[in-house]
Amino acid sequence: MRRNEKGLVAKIKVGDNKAFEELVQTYQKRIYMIAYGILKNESDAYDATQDVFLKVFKYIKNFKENSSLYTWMYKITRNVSIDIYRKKRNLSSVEYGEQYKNESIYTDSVHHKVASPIEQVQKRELSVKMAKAMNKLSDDHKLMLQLREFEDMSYADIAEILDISKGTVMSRLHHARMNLKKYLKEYDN
Amino acid sequence: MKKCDFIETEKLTAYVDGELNDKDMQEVANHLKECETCRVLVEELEELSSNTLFHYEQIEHSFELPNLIKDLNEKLKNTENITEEHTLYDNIIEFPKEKIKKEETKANDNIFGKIYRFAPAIVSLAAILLISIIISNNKPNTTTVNTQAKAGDSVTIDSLEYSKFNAMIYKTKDKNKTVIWLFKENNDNDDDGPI
Ligand SMILES: [Zn+2]
Repeated sequence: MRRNEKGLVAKIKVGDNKAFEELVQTYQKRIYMIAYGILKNESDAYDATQDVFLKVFKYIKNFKENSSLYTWMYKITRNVSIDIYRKKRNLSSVEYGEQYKNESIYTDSVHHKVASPIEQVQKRELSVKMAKAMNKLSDDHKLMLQLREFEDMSYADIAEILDISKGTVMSRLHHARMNLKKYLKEYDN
Repeated sequence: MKKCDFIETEKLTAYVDGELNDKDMQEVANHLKECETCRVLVEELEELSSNTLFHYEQIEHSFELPNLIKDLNEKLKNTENITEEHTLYDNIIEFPKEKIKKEETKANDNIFGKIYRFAPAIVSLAAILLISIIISNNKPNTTTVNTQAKAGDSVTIDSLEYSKFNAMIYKTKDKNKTVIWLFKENNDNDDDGPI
């Protein structure tokens, strides 16, 4: 469990709104990034993020603390995102395809910061290289890397979220890294 | 560089993550002392790890969600805008009975603010249920009703009434749950009974 997580949960359970806001602040970007990874659309990812926190708020009393809060939340995030994806796809596949193409059009809800010029120069090369290589990965592999490297989740947590075995986590993660390595090499050549 | 077949390469990934058991961690560590091929791969995997973290941190720092909390609070407060379909149990928040009794002793407005904010999403459902629930003017402590939301599901309701809303403790036969839902009192409907 992360720092403060237990205390946060306890406070939210008794209806402490401040604690709930702190939870939102702590996890909003991470939830959003997971949702975006599935939905590939900013406004859908934003809706999903809201849904996740509404559900967390609503069901936190049912949250059994034998799994960690973020594992529980990411499970919800995945379910909510897949739900939204299915609904949209059923609604109008044509329309969704259009939106997908226009994903660079930013919604009002998401504010994009621009890094300082110095930072940009220093980090540009690795950023671009990484972004290009990451983009080539399958969604499964991307999610695997995101959960492991960025969310710092254990194999057990990842296995629980994705409902797969720890062995599968290990081999999928390994393939994700080997593919990434390959794509980075391709970029260098 | 020589190809190494001493170790399954997947194990190296798990080694980098510290996810092997003690025995396997030791085995890989011993092997790395002797095998340059695997040593290089482990170094590469470690670098990939930190570059991937860097990649996601870049993304994380590239945007803000300045309105999310505001939007969430709006959604939590504004019950009229809830259009998604709800199932009966989906909308009921479990609420310990002791808590309710405690709240009962406080001022009405205070309770309204607190509980209403705590459980707003269920208000619209409760409004639907209200149609099919007979609330007598005698304000009975306990009444058995059938709900439209789940036909034939018999529930027992302990009704608590305040100036701005009603709160109910709700039990069904098959689900041994104590729950509460709330709704704004609608004076127009008071005497109408079920529709
Ligand atoms: Zn080797």
